[in-house]
Amino acid sequence: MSLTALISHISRGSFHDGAGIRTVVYFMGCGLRCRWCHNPETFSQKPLIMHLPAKCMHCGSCVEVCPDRHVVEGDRLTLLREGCTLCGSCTEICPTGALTLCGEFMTVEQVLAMIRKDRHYYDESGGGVTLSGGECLLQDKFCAELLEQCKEEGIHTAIETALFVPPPSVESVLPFVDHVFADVKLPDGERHRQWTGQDNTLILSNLARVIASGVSVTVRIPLIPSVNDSLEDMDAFASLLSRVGASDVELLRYNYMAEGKYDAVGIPYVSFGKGTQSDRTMAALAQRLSEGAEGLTVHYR
Amino acid sequence: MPVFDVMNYVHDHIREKLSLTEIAALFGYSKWHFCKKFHDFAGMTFLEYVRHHRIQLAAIDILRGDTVTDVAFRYSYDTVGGFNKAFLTHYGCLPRKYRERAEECRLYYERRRMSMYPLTDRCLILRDEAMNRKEALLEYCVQRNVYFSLGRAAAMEAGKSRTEAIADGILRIAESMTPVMIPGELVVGFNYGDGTYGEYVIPNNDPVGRELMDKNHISEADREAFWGLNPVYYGETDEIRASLTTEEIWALQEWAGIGRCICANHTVLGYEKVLKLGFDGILREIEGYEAVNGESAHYRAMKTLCRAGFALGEKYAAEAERRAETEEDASLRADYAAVAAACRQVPRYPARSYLEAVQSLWFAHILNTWEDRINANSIGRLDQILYPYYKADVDKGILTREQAFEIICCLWIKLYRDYDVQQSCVGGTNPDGTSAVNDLSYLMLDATEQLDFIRCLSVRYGAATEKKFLRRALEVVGHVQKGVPFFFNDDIMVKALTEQGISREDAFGYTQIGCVETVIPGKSNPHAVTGETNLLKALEYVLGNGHSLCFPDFKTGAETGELSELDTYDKLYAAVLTQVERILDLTCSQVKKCRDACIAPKPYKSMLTEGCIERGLDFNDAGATYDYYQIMLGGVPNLADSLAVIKKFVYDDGTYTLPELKAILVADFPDERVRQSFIRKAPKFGNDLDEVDLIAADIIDKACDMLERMAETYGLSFHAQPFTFLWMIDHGRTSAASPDGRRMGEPIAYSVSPMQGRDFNGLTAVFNSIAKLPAHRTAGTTSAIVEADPKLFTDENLDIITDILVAASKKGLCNVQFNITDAETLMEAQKHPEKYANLAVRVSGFSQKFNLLTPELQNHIIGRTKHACL
Repeated sequence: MSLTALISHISRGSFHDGAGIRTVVYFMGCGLRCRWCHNPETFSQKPLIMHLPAKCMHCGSCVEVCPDRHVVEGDRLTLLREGCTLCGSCTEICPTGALTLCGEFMTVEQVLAMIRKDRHYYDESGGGVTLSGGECLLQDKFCAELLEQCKEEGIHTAIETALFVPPPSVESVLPFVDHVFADVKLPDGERHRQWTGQDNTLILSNLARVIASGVSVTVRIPLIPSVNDSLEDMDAFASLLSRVGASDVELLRYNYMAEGKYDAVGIPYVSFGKGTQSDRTMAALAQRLSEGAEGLTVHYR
Repeated sequence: MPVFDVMNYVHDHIREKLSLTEIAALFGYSKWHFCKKFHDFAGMTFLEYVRHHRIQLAAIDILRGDTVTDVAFRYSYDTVGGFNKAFLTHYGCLPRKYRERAEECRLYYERRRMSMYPLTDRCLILRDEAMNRKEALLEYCVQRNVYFSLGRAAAMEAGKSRTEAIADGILRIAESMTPVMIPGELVVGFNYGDGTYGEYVIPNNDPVGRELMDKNHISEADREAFWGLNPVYYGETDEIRASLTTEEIWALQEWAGIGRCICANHTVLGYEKVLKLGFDGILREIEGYEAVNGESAHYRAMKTLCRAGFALGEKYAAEAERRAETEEDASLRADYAAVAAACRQVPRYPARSYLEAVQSLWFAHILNTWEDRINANSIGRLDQILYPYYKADVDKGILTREQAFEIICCLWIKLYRDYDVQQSCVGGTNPDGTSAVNDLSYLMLDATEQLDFIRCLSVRYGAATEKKFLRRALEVVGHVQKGVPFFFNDDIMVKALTEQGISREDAFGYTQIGCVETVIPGKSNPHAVTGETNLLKALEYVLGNGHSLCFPDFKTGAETGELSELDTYDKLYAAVLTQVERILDLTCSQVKKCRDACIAPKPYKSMLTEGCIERGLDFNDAGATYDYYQIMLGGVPNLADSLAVIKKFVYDDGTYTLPELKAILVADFPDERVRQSFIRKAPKFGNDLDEVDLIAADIIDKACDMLERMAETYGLSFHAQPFTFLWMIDHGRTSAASPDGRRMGEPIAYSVSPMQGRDFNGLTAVFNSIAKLPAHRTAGTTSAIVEADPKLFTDENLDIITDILVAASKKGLCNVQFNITDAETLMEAQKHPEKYANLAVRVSGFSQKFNLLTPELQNHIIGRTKHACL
């Protein structure tokens, strides 16, 4: 049987995850639990049921096929996830897509078929494919095979990773990757554990290794209000980034619109505010960061 | 009541407290009557108008830097709080914030307009006049109608032929009209086409009719004669209707297949000929052919029209000379002198300069619109027509680029005054494969952006087109946000046209009429929007074995067998194609009957269309070098989606039998769950899924084959045109529920755009789906509107959008139009139309003010999927 990976979805025509027009493949499963993550559906390493109440037409079909796990009170459906075997009967019967199964096991060939559909757009714009997630490198064998295939076909490749994976996983894909987006959340190990559930030692050593390999790297820092978006934080990031030899950094604004997704997958949501950093704040942070480390290009959108 | 005077009064007294009662009395009206009159004219109540006007003036003072307190009391607000509240309601923010935002906005505009010439004061004034002074139109609106009718009637009474009568009608307008000149205009001429009264209806002798006649200075004798005319001149269709078969009438009544032969006001003529030869030269050409072919009414009519051309120029020249003598302002005097000099030369004699070329073109166009009204009579490749004159003047040093820009603006203010869809086109490819983009192409894009009210402009591009030009055109889409310009792919269009027997050289000259209809300017009669079909109906006829599901009494379709006989998908599909052929046949046969029943003569169009003078045949009597009929193919996306649903649920999964499915559709989806699952669980066109996209492609391909067969049957040339105009609403209204999840009466998809809201795989997927359609066979062009988020067209994304368009075009995308609005704005505009007066959206092949659309059409547009950046 050929190699498969668990993919949450594939998004086409993306502008913002590398050069040109790109197809982004989202892998499921991640070792970190960043409290602000805006893709909580990719935490799990197995498929899960997404429930979108806005699409529900209260027809009761799901209750009919699986009365044990679906409870309707008034016009509100509650999904009892405990003990769910993911048999798919409710998502199959749901007429509107209010209940869907997130996560599909796909072969390399299946994913490639999707990627190839936009081949002419990559050629025109210098775009290609970006593997993201979750943590794509948890499924490193698959990634390596997929990326190798893309390279063979002349498609530009990029990965977006938090690097919280064993070093050999990173190394196995590097020969086939044109560009790496490496996420760095917090400079301080203890705070990193507090906010993501894990220490950052492994991440930083992987990062140093990736940069040393000579591949083109952009470090991405998601700015979370009051967690890592002060000027002092920028100083700490600056010293860390010069230590690992990073030369290109992108600051990402806080995405405050993920609550719906948390609700959909039944994971408690933590809000870091109802808005995002202003242009002025972003400019100030970027300037502070670039001043702190020599030869560092900082950009943001 | 002259509402305009009330508005002026309000403007003069805006700083005072204005009481409705007092003002009504001042103008001598009861309060009720005053309110109604005002509302009818202004579209808002008097008090709303005052509030509106007052807050806008206050905002200007705020921008000037005055304090909030000063401004509040200056405009008679009782308290600062009250002013703030009013401000917040109107602008969505407080005055202070407004000032900050305006500053940002100003900087943005400065940045973005740096590379462009600003509108000159002249253009700003003319633009304002064209946009806001509707009053002025009323003074001249009936002139074309009255004088044309009188001239034509006199000719008919004198026993002249119909074609001569039309020519006499046009000559009479040229001789009798009032020459309208707005101070500051560099290009003059008015086509009296706007407004209800420009057409047929001028109330007979009642106060409104009399007031209109008074305003238009129509003499007592003329108005009596006009009202005494026999209205029979206008009706020509009854006899055609009588010749139709029952099936044809059914097809017509349920909007399945409608065939006409209107061949009117959808043209692009050879205006270059007027620029080059003048009507004087054309007259001599006509006389030459007359000598060879023999004298005829056709030639007499055309000669009369040349004289109408002389009269038009002379009339304006005389008026300009008169004004130049009496005008006190020196700069206006110079303008009049320039206009007079130009009008003495053109359109009678060849244009010698860029200004004369523009003036000559505008006069030539006016005469065309006098023949059969404005509607979609279009201009064509303006940058190509004018470039030789522009270049010569610039080389001679008598014209600067900036002056050329101003003259374009002057022409465009004329062309897009609240008129119908008069399309022009820029860019393109030369027959030798090089890019035809020139300096004027860029200047015309600049004018479009600066004037900000242009509704119809198309851009032609191909493999040879500079990316810089395409990027600039897309930038204008983003800046103007009114869906202009729109885009046509030469590489595919030329192929499609040459396959229809049009010479390569001529195919490279193609342009668009009105919306998207393809025409070879000055060489073809395309009979645009002649045949209109709803192919989704084919499925209804299969399920009803020939009967319509929507109107069970109608047996419009062919008998394709009982449902039990259609036991495989292939058999069903074959039956659908049989019905498609039936619909096309019913449409084409109607076209043929209309064509044979009467030939509506078009002497002016004949004069400026290659072939008609030479052969001595009318434009509508197959005189043109290329004579073809465009058959619109509607409902293809819905039909493909529906077939994909049937394939899955009936033939692959066996969830329903065909009779069960039919019952569901006839009952209009009694179980919403079924409808939802049909929408969600089968592939839909527009998502780059071959299972369904290839069905759509095959239907169009087969329809093209069928039209080739029809061409032999009926002896006419048919061009396929997968385009619905805005009739997707009407087609939907007369269609039963369809398996794609469309409810009974709901609009069908626009042209080949995906069904609204059913595309969710992003922009590249939509383009890929559309690119799979055989556009190289549909010479009438495919048409597609893509809804895009404004952010998609911001500066940082423009390169990528350009790349997407180029890549999609290489794959086979033929035409695309972008609608740049977000759903929230549109819904807001639906609720508060007064705040969004200048908001325009892409409706069909043209843009229209959102406020002017029916709620149904507004909802259709809101329902289309918005493509944002990911």
